[in-house]
Amino acid sequence: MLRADNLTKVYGTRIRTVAVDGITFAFEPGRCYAIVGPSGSGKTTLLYLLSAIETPDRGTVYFDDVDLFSMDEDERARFRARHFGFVFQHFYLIPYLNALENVLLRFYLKGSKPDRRRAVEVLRRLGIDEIKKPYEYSGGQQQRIAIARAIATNPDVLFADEPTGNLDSRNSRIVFDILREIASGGKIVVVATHDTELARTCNVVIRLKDGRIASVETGG
Amino acid sequence: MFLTISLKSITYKPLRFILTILGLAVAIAGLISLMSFGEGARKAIRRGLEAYKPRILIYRGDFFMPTPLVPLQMADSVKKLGIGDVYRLVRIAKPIGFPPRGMAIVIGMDFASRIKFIEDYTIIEGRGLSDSLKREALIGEKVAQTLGYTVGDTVEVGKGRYTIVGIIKSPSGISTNAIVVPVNLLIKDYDFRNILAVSIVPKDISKTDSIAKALKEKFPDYQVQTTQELAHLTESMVAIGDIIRFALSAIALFVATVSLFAIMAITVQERTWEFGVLRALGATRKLIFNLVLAQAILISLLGWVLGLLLGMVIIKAINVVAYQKLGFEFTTMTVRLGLFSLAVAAGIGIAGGFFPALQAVRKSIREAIGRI
Repeated sequence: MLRADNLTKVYGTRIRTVAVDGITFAFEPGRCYAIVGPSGSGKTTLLYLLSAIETPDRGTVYFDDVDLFSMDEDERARFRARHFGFVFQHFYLIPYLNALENVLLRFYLKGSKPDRRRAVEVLRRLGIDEIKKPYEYSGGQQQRIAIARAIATNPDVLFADEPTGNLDSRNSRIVFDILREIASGGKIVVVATHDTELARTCNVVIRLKDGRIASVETGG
Repeated sequence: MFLTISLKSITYKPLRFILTILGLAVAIAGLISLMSFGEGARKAIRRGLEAYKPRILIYRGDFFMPTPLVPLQMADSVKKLGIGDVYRLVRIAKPIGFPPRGMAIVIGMDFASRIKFIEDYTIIEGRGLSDSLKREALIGEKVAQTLGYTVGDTVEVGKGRYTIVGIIKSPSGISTNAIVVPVNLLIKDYDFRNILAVSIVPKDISKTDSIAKALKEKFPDYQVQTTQELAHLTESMVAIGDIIRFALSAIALFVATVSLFAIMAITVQERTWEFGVLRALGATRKLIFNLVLAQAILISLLGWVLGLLLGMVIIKAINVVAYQKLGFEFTTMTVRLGLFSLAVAAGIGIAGGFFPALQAVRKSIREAIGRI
């Protein structure tokens, strides 16, 4: 289980902006969580705090009762490599590595032996059969490669920050289908998105306003 | 995977890295070709010292810029001591051809000694000298080529005329430029009162140092040195030359380091988002630091490989010209020089990559990802 405990993040020193304000919430395996809200509501910051990419000013995050912020930065990085996957809005595939190498990168960062068969299998499952350089794929394909990279090492939690922000509606639907499928496989999926329609296809929709949870809707 | 990332990140933007590698290659080639003069000098001196095989030398002034200041009788005085084989060392530089087309070294061969007086030469035509009183000469291959001489011709040395009985050559080239005649006749032709040095090979070589000490006390007005002492002296002289040559090549090396630093700093700036993503996916700061540093070192090593090849071509070219003009090879490529240039290249890689590598890990992940 992933648990946020009184998570607070403030930016700026002279002009203080409270991006996330005392959020406490528990994320359970096998469910897809959508975080929605207007720009500046703290969606991305919350995602970065939950994934231990960013450090909170107050509060902490527990994963299976392990306090992520009791570790130093390098330990947190290694923890992320073992337990978390991350998908970004701009795909962020490494441009000089091909699709397969981008996926294999995760094994390297996790410190495990690169499993070529597993990487190819994950890519195929996401509809990527041909191995090329990232720029040779369409946006939708690039996002699917990014998802393959995130899940190749079988992480416990998958975070996605606006994963459909650069995709058309068809590809956006495909991406959400994949995310839900991953969640139904017993993983925790946390997605920050603007798209309320797609968000509703997740099990839980968390609505943020001014860095706080305004509402939690439980759906399918 | 680490190597794949380092290599592929270089080949992703090939032009800038090719230019950087070329710059490094030129600097390394400059270093190698300049330093190869020192290595060449070391090799020639070492061969010379090994070839002459004296264990103790008695001379006056500077052995490397010699003036014949040792009286002829000195050899007899030393012989009387019965400490070993003694021979007279006479060497004269003589212009060859008219107008002069080069310099030959006229060497006097001391038949009185059982020891070999000159480096290991090979007779490539004719035969060796047969008698200390016969006006016979051996000439180096280069001298023969320059003057168009062959076996049976006559060569003039001072007031004497000698029949060429053999043509010689040697690996280091000393004999290639030599005219070898019996020392007695050479002294007579030039009417020498003094010779360059007296050389002694002690009967008991293990006592060389104590004999040299005793000779120093007996002949306080002369320089008495063992081969080993001479080797140390030459080594220190060449080492000073090495420092000067390294200082000269340091200018190009400095420029190469600065350009590597600039390219790495630009690359890191452009790849900030990439490092942010890698860290978000689980890379530690140390890994990112090592990636950037490894890339810089890899570039400098590629520059070294190219520079090494270029340096060897330059050395070969210098040697071809030097052999044509002077009859021996000036420069030498050695394993030591190769390793030294490798260390310099690695140093450039570290110096050029260290601060960009620090720059790559300085930003927070969010800040880094925010930069595209």
